[in-house]
Amino acid sequence: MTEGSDLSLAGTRVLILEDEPLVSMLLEGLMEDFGCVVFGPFLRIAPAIEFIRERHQEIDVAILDVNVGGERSFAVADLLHELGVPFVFASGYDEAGIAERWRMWPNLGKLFYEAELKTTLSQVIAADQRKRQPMAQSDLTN
Amino acid sequence: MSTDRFDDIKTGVNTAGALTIDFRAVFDHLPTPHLLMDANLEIVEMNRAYLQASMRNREDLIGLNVVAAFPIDDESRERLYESLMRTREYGVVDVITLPPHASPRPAAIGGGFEHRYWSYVHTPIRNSQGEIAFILQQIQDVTDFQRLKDATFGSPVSIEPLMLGGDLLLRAEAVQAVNQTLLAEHSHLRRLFMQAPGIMCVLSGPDLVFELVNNACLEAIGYRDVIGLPIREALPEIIDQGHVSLLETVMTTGQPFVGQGMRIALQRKPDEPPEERYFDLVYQPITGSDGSVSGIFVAGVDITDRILAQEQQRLLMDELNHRVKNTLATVQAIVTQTLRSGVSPEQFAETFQARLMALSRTHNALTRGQWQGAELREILREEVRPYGESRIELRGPPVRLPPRAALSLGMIFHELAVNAAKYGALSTAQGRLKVTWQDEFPSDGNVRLNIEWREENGPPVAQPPQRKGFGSRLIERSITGELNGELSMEYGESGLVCRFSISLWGHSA
Repeated sequence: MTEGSDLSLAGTRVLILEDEPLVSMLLEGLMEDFGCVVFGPFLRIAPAIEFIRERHQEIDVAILDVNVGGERSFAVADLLHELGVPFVFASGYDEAGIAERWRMWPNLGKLFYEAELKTTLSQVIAADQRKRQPMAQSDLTN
Repeated sequence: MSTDRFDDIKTGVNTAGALTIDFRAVFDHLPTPHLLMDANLEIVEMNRAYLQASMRNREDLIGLNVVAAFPIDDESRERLYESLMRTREYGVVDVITLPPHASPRPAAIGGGFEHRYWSYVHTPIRNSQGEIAFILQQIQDVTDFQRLKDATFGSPVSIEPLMLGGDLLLRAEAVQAVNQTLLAEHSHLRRLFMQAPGIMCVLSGPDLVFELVNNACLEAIGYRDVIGLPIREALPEIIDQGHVSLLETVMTTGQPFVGQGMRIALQRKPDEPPEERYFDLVYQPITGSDGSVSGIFVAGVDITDRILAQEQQRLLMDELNHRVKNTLATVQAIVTQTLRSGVSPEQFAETFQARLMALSRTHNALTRGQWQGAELREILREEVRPYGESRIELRGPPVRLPPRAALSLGMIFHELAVNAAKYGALSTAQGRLKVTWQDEFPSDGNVRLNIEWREENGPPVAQPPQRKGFGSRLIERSITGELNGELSMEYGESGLVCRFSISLWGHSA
């Protein structure tokens, strides 16, 4: 996959976890503009976890706010990682506010360009596909 | 005064009938050496004992400067001069003992020289104007004391028969006066030490035994009785914090230690966990003349308040940063959402600015409440006021909104008011708006707020549009999501009735 204007997210299924109404509306609107299918936006952690457990195979990528209704969303991040679902953070917190194990993970911040959002999502999806490929091959050899 | 102590001294009665005594003769008979000098330190007179002790002639000595008159070394000469100056300048009795110097031995006991110790008492004598006119020098041969001392402390010098003559009482008084001065100075220094605002203590010996502890230090350690105890016993909680080994390093190396902002958890109350405090500290080794370290002087300043203030400031900065980013993200979302409705640039500018102003008004209300919360009525009134207060009724008890609820409700009321002014009851002269609310306190400790927004006498309202606009999506998402509430919208004959129920304080503001 090449980077640039031809990169497309059309048809990508995106889960959004964001409790701030305006920001969730912004993310949802942008995803729709990209031609994505949106799951959510989830405004609470518990329903998001429930949804992920049931339908993680349908999720291509997730966007997670960190502070959701007063709770931290790292349990959601742990679950997605365990299930092999790529995700990015979209948090107003800087590194100090992010749990140590997730500090190096992509974080869009609260303010972002549309293009930046698109590029970052494409990158984590692509990185995840590269990661999955060798596993798929080794499955075949076995 | 009785005269029989001076049996060989002439006494008589003068013309006025008063008893007269020949004091010159008394002076001459004093058994200890006395010398009188004027204020210029020139020798005026001396008694027989002085001449015997110095083995000099009266005529040779009269008129000589007393400091130059005798063969003593330069250091002794200087100390003698300083003592005389103290007596002359301050009018005090001054006592000094000079190191031994060679004194000629009488021919009767073999001649030659011997080392003798001399003590000097200088007494000021004032004239009738109160000026110091003379200084009386009394000399005491203290060689015997010195030899006794040497003998007591094992010196090989043999003891000669002791001659403890002289006015020891005067000397004792002078020494006592000096001691009292020292004692006064000592207690003054002790007061300074005890009352110093900084922490001070003295630890001595290899086990670092508490020798002195001042009030600030006692306060810091919770008034534990530590005097005489090794530090490991006195403050066991600091062993694992590395402070004892640090002190031991100072003892072994003799190098002072300076630490800033050092954290020490001290057991200030027996039943409570150690209390964390921060200090700027100096561990200063106490070094003897041979270079060995006998103890440590600890001085410190408790800077806990400063550290806590710094921490508080850092938290405030983080909070501010977070809040500003959230606000900017909100603005970005408003811009994007306003643009998506496909309006003209003029309409965009108007709508966007109105939304921005609504956000700003809520911020103002929150700032007035120091971001602890804002009054529901105030938030509501700010949004509806531009449409005529006389036709708007607001009714309900005072309700304190947490910041996030205030920000959300501010935007909700703004969208409802703008919608009413465009299409609803506030778009006609006859239309009225009634907003009522009640708060409930269910047993789960939460606060439930029920609000009804009722438009009356407005134009008939069409059924809700197929594609929801920004306002209705925002309201729905805020109420059902962020505010954990329920929402109902009725498009009645005479206008919109919007009811919602939200929980306050149920989640983090």
